[in-house]
Amino acid sequence: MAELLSHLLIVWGILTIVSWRLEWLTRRWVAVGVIGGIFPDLNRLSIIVPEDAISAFLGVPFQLDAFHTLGGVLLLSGLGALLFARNHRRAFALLFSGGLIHLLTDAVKAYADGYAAMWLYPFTNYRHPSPNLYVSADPEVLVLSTVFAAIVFFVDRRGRTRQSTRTSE
Amino acid sequence: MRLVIRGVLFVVLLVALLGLGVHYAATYDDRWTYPTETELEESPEAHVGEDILIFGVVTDIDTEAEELTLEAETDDGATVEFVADEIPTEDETPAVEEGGFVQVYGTLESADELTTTETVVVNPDALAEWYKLGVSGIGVLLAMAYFLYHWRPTTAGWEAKHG
Repeated sequence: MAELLSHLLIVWGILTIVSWRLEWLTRRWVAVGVIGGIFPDLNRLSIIVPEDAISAFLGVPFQLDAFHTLGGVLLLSGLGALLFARNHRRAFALLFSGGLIHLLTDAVKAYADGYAAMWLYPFTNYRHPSPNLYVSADPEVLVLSTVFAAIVFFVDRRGRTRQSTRTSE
Repeated sequence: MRLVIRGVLFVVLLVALLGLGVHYAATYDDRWTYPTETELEESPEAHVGEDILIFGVVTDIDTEAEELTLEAETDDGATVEFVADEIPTEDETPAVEEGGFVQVYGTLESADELTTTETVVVNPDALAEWYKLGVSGIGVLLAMAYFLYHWRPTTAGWEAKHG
C-alpha cells in the first residue's frame, strides 16, 4: 500500500472531479468518500491490537488483512453507512467508492513476481498482472498525489467562483 | 431506516466481517500462489525447486559474496531466514540497507537459499517504515478533520452540519 495520505488525496481528487458532473455529490459527501479511503488500511490496526489477541479472543485464527480486500471494503462500507442518520445508500456508495479507489491504486504497485495482491477476495483469488508503478515508500508518490490534488483544488475553486458569479448576475 | 433494523443489520455485518477475517486466515495458505513463510518454516525441504515470493526485513548484505539475507515472519510470529543471491543496486551501490524491507521472487535452492529472479525494495531502510506511518497518521488526522467539518454526531447517527 502507498502511505495513507497519498491514497486520501487521490480519493479526494477523483471524487471532486466526479462532483463536477453530479450535483448531489457535495463536499460533505466527498468527505464521506475520503473516510472510505481509510478502510483498506484498517488492517494496520494490528499495530495497536495484535492479531494474536483477536485470534485468542475469537478462539480461531484471524487476519486483519481481510479488510484490505474487496469483500472487506464492502462490509466496512455497510457498517459505516449504518452509522449515518439518513441517506444510508448514498453513504454506502461514497464509502465504498473511497475504499475501491484505494484498492485500485494499490493494484498497480510493484510486486517482485509482477502480479498484484489477491485484493478481489473473497470473490476470486485471481492475481492480475501489475504494471509495477511504485513502491509504498516512494516520496514521489506523495509528491504526485499532492500535485494532482492541488490542481483539482484550484480548478474546483475556479469553477465554483464562476458559478457563484453567474448566479449573482 | 428504523433504528432497530439498523442495529440488527449492524450486528449481522459485524459478524460477517469477523467471519471474513477468520476465513481469510484459515484459507490463506491454500489461496496464495506460492508456499507461505509458515509452510517454508515447517517443511522447507518439501519446497526446494519451487518458485517462492518472500517478504522480509534485510538482516545482512554481503557485497563480496553478492548475498542478501532477509528474515520473514510466519503466521505465529516466528522468523525464518533466507539468503538470496542478488543485491538490488542503484548507481552501483546497494539500493537497500540492513533494516530495510524487500520482496524477493526466485527459486528455492535449499532450505534457506534462493536464486533471485527479481527483487523489489519496499523500504530502503528502517526509517522508511516510520516515514510511511508518520505520513499515514497525518492523512488520518486530515481526513477526520475534513469529515468533522461537514458532519456531526447525533443520537440518530451522523448528521450533516450545514443545511
